[in-house]
Order: sequence, then structure tokens, then C-alpha cells
Amino acid sequence: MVFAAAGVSLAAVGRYGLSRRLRLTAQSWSWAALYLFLAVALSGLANDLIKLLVGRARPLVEARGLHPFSSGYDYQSFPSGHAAVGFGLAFAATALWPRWRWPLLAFACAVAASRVVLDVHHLGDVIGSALVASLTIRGLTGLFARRRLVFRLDSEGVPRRHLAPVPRWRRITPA
Amino acid sequence: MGTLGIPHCSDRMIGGSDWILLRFNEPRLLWASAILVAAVLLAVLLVDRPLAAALVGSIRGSIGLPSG
Repeated sequence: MVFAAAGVSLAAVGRYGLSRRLRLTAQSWSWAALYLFLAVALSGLANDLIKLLVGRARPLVEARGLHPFSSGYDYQSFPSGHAAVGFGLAFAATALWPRWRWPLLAFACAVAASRVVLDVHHLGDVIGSALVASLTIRGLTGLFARRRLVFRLDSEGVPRRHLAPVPRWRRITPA
Repeated sequence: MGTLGIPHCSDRMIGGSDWILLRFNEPRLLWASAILVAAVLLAVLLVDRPLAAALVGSIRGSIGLPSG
């Protein structure tokens, strides 16, 4: 929701902003906000689909084995939704701000560890979430890069960030 | 050609399909995915049940219930 609201606000500034430079920057970053929104949403959606297909029992449930297509909470352990969203956000933000990769990864690992410690997910569930999120973000980044939105493919076919620089406010010095 | 004979992204620019969402053109992604799949299998087969049992025991113990 935060990224969707940011994207809509930036798109409005991109359309009605006062200067051309401000409009271009806002348009460029509104796509980045959409990218982050889709990263979280698609990681969660892919995760929910796999949950339904696998139907693994949660740690506190006595029953073992898989129960595909069961809609109840007790049989939606693999993969973890919280961990998938955490890893999805961390991987997408890392693609935009590579310098922050370790703090972002630590944040995602903390989210994942909390699910295991609370005994609502197995360890394998949160590792599976990291796999789902990494493949989802790779696909989303490639999709954006091929359309030259937010990223561009370099000569080796690797997506690189391509956003308008944020304007820096000039310091007002007394005359 | 990329890893495992799958074409690079740059191949798309000379006439490949636009509609393939995932292209495994990065060996690092393949390695990371393979390691994660192996980790999931190891966790599911060896770690998950004992860890869950231990955590359930500790949670029961912390609220004063017998751990069995």
C-alpha cells in the first residue's frame, strides 16, 4: 500500500509538476515505486499459489504429510508468506540500492527466523520462500529491464538501475 | 548461448521472443537457486521435524505444560 500510494503520488507530480526536471524525476521514480509494489505483491501471490498446491502441515499440527488444495490455515505451511514478502522486498530493494544489500538481507532473515522461532513455520518453509522470492524478483526485474523501465540491460544482458537522478536542493547562502 | 545452452538476454534483441518471463542467463542465479533447492530438501528431510518438536517442547515448558 505504501509503495502504491507513493507511485500514484509520484505519477501525479510527474504529470502536473512545476518544472520539467521535477516531472521527469517523478515519472522515473513512480515506476520504481510500482516495481517495489509488484515485487511485494507478486512474491506474496506466487507464495499463496504454492501454499495451496503443496498443503504442508504447520509445525504445531499433529498430522503429517501433504494435503494439497486444503484451504485451512493448518495446512498452508510451505512456503512462508511473511518470509516471501520480506525476501521479495529485500531482493527488489537490493536491485535498486545495491549498497544496502546486507542490511536488507539481514532484515529478511530476521523476518524469516521469527516465523521459525514462533513455531508457525518449518525451517524448510522459509528457505523455500527465499527461493520463490528470488525467482519472482528475477523475472520482474527482467521484465522491467526489457521495457527499459527502472532498469536497462547492459552489454552482458544484466539489468542495471536506470533512474533519473533526484534533484539536490541548493543551499541558500546569504548574499 | 548461456548456461546449459539457454540463450542470453541479448539473443532476444536479435529476434528472440519477448514473452519469456524468466531467462536463466546468469550462472550466479542458477547456483543460488540450486543451493536453495538443496537447502529446502535438507531442511524438509532432516531438520524440520526435530526442530519443530524441540520448539514445541520449549514453548510448552515455558507455559508450564509437560513437554511430551
